[in-house]
Amino acid sequence: MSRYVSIWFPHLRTDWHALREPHLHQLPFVLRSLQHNRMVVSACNAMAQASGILVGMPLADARAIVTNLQVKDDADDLPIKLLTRLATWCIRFSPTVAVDLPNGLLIDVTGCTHLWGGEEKYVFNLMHKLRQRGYTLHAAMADTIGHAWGLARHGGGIVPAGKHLDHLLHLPPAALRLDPETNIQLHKLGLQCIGQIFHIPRTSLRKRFGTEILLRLDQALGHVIESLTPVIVPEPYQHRLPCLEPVKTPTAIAIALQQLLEELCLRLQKESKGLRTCTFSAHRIDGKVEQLKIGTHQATHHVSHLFKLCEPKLTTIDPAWGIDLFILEATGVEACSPQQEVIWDAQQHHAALAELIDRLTNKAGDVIHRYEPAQHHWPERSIAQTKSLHTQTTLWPAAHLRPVQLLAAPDRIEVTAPIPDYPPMLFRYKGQLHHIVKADGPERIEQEWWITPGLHRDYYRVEDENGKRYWLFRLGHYQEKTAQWFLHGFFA
Amino acid sequence: MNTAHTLLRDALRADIMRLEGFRPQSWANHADLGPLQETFPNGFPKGALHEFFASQPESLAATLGFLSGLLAITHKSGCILWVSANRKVFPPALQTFGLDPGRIIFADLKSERQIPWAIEEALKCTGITAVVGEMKALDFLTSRRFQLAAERTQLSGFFLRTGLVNKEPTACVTRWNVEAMNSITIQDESGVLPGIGFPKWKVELLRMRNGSPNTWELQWSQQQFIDASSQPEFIQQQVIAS
Repeated sequence: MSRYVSIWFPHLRTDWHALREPHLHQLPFVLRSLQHNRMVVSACNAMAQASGILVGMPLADARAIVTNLQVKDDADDLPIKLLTRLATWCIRFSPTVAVDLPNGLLIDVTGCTHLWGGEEKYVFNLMHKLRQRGYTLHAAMADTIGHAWGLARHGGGIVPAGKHLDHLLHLPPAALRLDPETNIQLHKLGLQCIGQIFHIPRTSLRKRFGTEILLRLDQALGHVIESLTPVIVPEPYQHRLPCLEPVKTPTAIAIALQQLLEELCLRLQKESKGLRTCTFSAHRIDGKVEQLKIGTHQATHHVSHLFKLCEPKLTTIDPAWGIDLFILEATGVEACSPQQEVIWDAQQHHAALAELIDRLTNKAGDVIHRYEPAQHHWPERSIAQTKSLHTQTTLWPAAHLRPVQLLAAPDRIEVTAPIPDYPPMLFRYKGQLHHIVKADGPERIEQEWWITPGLHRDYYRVEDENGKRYWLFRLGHYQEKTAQWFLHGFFA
Repeated sequence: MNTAHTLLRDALRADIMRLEGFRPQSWANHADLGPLQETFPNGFPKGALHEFFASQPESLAATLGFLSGLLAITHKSGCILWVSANRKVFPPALQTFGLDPGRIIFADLKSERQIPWAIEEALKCTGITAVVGEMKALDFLTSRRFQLAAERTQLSGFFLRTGLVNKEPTACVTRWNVEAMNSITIQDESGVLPGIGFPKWKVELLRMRNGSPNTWELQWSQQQFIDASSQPEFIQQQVIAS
């Protein structure tokens, strides 16, 4: 049996303004917005309402009723912002919290209330904490979303599980989440409570009011299943650690992390799964959420390794006035076989290597590379990064010698090359003259025109009089004066 | 010299080494080092640090060649972590020296300051067999930390000291300098054959703890180091044939 809580903030927007300017509490106060070229009241506080101001009334009329009326401009996106913030804060009461525009929240509390010692205490706690934040609210708990919504706006309270039918029939039709026109119509027809509608045949209702009223009635009765859209979708691998008292010392945060990791890893181990990415979030009492994220190179459920990865980032969590809830979410989970694969030949130290790589990437970023031969002759493109560190690379081509040092961009050199298609006799590199005594080549490497257009390169391996070996190339065909020569690498 | 004397001398040498902090099992890498064997009678040291100086790109290239050959001979399996901030080595070339580029994992850090940290982390890891670090600065304190980490895990550390470096003492067991030399080419009746021979280097062991410095002229051919000091730059074809 599901249980839902609906919270209604009758003066959400004015309460928020009053929080920022406390003197507004003592004064009649409204928000205004422009509708059809006239200023109307779009929200009012309890005091203004008591003196007869209604939402939708022209502002001039409101000023006529109350002389010392305080007026502020309204913002359209304020309710969604406020409600999302409040919903995120309410995560500590239940993982499934949804925003209910324009002025409410819906919480799926199934299986959560016993943690607070019963439904009364749960609702009391929730209302008390929200009131402390400075909002006026009404809350109700019932078996269906529709019923809880209606009850919150018409009396509030808790309907015991299984008793909702009797209770619902006494509520006014406005509790059914119908549009205002239908509400007025029902009122005019003298239908004062849902019980009266309930006894009218369904076909007559559909003919008179359309299908919406039937749907709403079914939802409130629980005949039609309704689902919530939670503000934060709960992860399947999520562990929570609420604190009795807010904590703010680094040791306490570290202990919380350790405890959550142990819980999570134990569960992952049982399901023979491993963690790839996870988020550790700390919910502060002032409503902010501090987060840290880690990623591993290989699925793992090794507590001390994961703790080591998080440890340097723990200092980034600012506890401010205290943290009262820690959540550890495994956002990326992969199957992880307990039997370690062998790395290359006889290597058995796979896990230790993976942990080293995790430590390096966590501190320094994406720095780990391993290469495999690519199907290109063009030197710059002849190697490619491997995706995995475990696979055996394909055989490296051994037909052509390559320099141990390859310059990222070839360096221009001046040469004396009098004979066509022969290596130069001497060249000048960085101001120094080199006489070539031995040479090999040419090795012609064509530009891959389907990737980039350009001229081919004729490579020569040369050795100067001091025994230093270089890799030179000429761009394109031989031309006595205009040929361009480059130095591209150093041989051992 | 009789046997008793030799035994006594060996026992005393072992004592001195123990007093200097060398554990006997750290000399366990029994690979065939060719001409270098004489200087390393107990095998190439394991769990120790080695540094190579290379100021010019040309000498760095020669050093990279010698180092890859040395790694291929002394570390036949397992993977090698290559830590650098401005990496110059081109992986496909390493297989010329018997080192499979797929065995190497490169850690290309963004700044020189992170290198000592990364090397120390790597030396503490049991999942690899050797660490190569390209770095400019290495002081005694840092190298001592590396040495302690390497002793615990029995990993070897090789440091390429590029650029102009101050050669202050470090905790490294050996210190090397490698320069390129003219390769040996074949000469027949018609004259010198075109082309470049096998890579040849002048390898200087500048400093070695518990050993004496030495200099070799080495050539890399047939996947091993060959002593080339006695060979002239141009050799007659019949010499090869025999």
